Amino acid sequence: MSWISRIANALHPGSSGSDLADELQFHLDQRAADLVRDGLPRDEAERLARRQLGSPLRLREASRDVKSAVWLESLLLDFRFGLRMISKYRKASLAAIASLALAVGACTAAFALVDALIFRPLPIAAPHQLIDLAKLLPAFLSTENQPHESTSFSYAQYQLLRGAAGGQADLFAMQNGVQLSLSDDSGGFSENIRAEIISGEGFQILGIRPALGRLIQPGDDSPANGNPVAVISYGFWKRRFGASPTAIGERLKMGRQSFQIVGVAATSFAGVEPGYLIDVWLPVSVASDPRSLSNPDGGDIRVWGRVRPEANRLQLRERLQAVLTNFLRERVLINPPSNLRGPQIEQFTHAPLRIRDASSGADSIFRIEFRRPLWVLSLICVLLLLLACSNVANLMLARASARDTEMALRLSLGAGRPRLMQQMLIESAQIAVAACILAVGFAAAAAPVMVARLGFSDSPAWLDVAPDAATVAFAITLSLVTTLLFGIVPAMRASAASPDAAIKSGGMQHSRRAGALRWMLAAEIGFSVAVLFLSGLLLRSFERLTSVDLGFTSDNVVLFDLGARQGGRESPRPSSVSGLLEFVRQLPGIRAASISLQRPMGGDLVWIQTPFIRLPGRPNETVRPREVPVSAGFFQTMQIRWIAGHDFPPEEVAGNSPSVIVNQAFVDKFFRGQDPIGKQFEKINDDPDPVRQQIIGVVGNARWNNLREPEEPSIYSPLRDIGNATLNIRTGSRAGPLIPGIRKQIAATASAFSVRGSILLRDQIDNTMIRERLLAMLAAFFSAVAMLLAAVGLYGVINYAALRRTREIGIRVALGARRRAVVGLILSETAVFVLLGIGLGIVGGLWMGRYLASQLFAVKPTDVWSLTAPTLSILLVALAAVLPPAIHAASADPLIALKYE
Amino acid sequence: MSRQDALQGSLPLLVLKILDRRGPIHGYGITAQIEAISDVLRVEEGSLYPALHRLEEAGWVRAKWTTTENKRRARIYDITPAGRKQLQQEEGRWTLVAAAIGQVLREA
Repeated sequence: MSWISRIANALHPGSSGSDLADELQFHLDQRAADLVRDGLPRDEAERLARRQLGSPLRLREASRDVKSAVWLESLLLDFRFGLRMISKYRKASLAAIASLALAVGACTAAFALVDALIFRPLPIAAPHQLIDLAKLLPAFLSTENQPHESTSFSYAQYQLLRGAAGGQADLFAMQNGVQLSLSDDSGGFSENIRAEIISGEGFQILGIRPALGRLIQPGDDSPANGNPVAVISYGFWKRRFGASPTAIGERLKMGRQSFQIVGVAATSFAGVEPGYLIDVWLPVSVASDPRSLSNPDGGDIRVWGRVRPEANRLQLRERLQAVLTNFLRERVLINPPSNLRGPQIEQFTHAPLRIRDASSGADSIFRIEFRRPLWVLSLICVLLLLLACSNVANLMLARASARDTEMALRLSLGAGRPRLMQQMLIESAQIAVAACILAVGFAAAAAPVMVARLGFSDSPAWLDVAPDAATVAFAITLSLVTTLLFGIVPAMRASAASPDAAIKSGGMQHSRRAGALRWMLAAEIGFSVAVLFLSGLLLRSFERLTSVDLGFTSDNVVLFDLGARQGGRESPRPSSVSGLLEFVRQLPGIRAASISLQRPMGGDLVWIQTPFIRLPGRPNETVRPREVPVSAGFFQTMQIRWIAGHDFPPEEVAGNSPSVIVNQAFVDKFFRGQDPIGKQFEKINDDPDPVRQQIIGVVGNARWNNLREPEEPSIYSPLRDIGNATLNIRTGSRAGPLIPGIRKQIAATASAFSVRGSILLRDQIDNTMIRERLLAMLAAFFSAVAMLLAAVGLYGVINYAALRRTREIGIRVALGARRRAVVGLILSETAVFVLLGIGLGIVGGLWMGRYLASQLFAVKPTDVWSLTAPTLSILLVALAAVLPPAIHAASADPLIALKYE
Repeated sequence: MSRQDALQGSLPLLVLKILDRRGPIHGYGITAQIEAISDVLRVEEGSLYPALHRLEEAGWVRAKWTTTENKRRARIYDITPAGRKQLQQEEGRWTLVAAAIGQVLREA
């Protein structure tokens, strides 16, 4: 008989059973007939026949074991029984499913994010062969004074490395994280796009096919090529050209250059930077500044490659290292670097080269920014999951205890312990499956919401977090593991029940079980406190961040990206800059206007200048304050407090003026107790001759780049080069509605400039707090869930404990115990475990807090306030959950309580 | 009792042999045949049907429902080719073992 028939027999146990009965009956009749023929009376013959055949029940059992898949039958039975149990204990089951679904859902959503951002391989053939190169630079070459990996190579270095790698790996060059502004036909601003610059072999090595037209080819690399080309992404093609085939041959205008579209990349490929969708790919030669390409010592070329399957990565590294070091040694002799001395040069030329696995794409700013926060998020999710597990285990255990008598009865009727365990585990699994389905749904809904929160307001993030096979597999695995976690304890307990004891005592034997329950309760409270503590840290950190004293007023300020207009050969003349500001200040509704080289509160996207300066009287010492080039009127626009001296005169935009304005921190650090106005210092640039600077004004401390930065000494210098700068405008009323008018006016009048994207300073500040805001938002949500789960768990357990002891309480009350004492008894027994749980939670929370330290602002991971709040709130939740059942139990009528038993 | 014990392990062999010789036949028929041939062997009827079902499960016999002359539903069993092969092996093994035991009993 086949498996199919066995399974069929298991599904329809009736039919095979009646067949067997027929067969045995036939046997009995035949035997009886033979015996009658031998001369026995009919009734005796039948009796004898039956005796010879034996018990029909046993025969049936024996044959059924052979004929049907018993395990399946029992599974089905348990399955149906489990469903009945879920609907019988509806409230507890729903609570269990909901808490698991929330926790598994949160974990799955976090996994989807982490996977999409960090782990998922690029959608290219054999992604594990993809590598990129990095140099490990010594600490003295970094602003943070830490050794760091640099991925920047010069074009000449790339070409050398590519030649050296031949046979072992195919290298290509890329520039990642490029943002460009697209102009419309008249040269005005159209939209900001994301681009990657890629050398001719790149697409072929990546293995990307065109969806239309052709991709960038080696021929496009030649600077002599008079026809700069561009390949657009499928998404961009659909968005800007409505997926029309006529897009091929169209031109994209960017600043002074225009690129002809020659093809569309395959649908699945959106660049190598997880978190962003790339719109356009441009060839290295024409897209980069030709000067930077021909500079052998510097550049921003990133070297990517595909290692041949048979290649030895160690050998490859050695070979590339030798070539690079040789090259750097030669260059150092020809062009000695001014900022390095003696042994530092050696360290620089021997900087270790690393071959890094790039299968999951480039470390985009986005990825670097959110890697830690996502791990923190995952940590809290795991805690939440443990919390939910212990909560569900509590509920299941309480439920299982209520079924002691049932279990005892089954055991005494001969049910095997494995079978009872199987049944309990199946009931857990049903809850897990329901929770798993809900969890995937929850994750599918929550993950995109979180991705939307990750992006900056003017450059949205894009991550594919739709539930894929990996996500679903993760949710299923998690559910299975949790089923085992929360299902195994009740299962063991149930099967360990002793039939006689359980039946005899009729529910009095509560001590051992209640002990297990209370330990689970302590664990649950511990997890809640830990979640609340960590969330509290994050919330507090966010609160501190939002209440930072900016040093300027952020309302009603709008920032425009300012550029030199297409067609202009040189940077606009400074006179036209003051002209522009003059003009803008006249516009209606404008209070003040100024230009800064970088965007205020630009965050990680902005490069901060920290020149070396030499102070008077300290010739052998250099310090590196921050330098912020601004135009006159900047402090008025930002409303930064004036302390002494005066602003740059308007014409000082003109150039090599020695005047600088410094902040209070600068004065405190370098000119303490002196009148700083008129003081001088030397600024050391790349030029051999230091530039003399003179302080003409002092302003209050103000945050410049982000809210987290310390109040550091800063110098404000007059703006010189405004090839790309930011126009800051303060309006009298809300700035938003005025933006289109301002843009139009500038475009019409100040023809030397183009005004591109704009953003409110408020939004720009918010952009620097995205991580903190996201974490705080999630922390608030997780705290609420943790409190809720703790309350549900406590209520369930106390309620159960009180019910179990109804009789004991009845006797106590009957013997004259006061109700207060009874309530106190129940409370004090629980209180020990609640306190124990809180203690465990605090210890665990403090231990895990260390991993959060990097995400916290102005909050120590051992913050006492952050410990008090969760403790108090859990105590309150515990009291609220415990009191009703305790009072209910104490107010029970002793007579009814005793009779009931 | 000793009679039955001797039969325990060899019941499948006897069932296969009867089916091989006497063609399609029902369970009671197998009992009757064995008893008709041998005065010594008696089939423990309680073990016959589980044994038959195990043989069926192993694919050595097949069964189908038929109607007898007096219009009764009866389940008849028949040997399969795989069963025949099994029978040959088992028979050979049995003869070998029986001979060996006989030899030991004679010469010990």
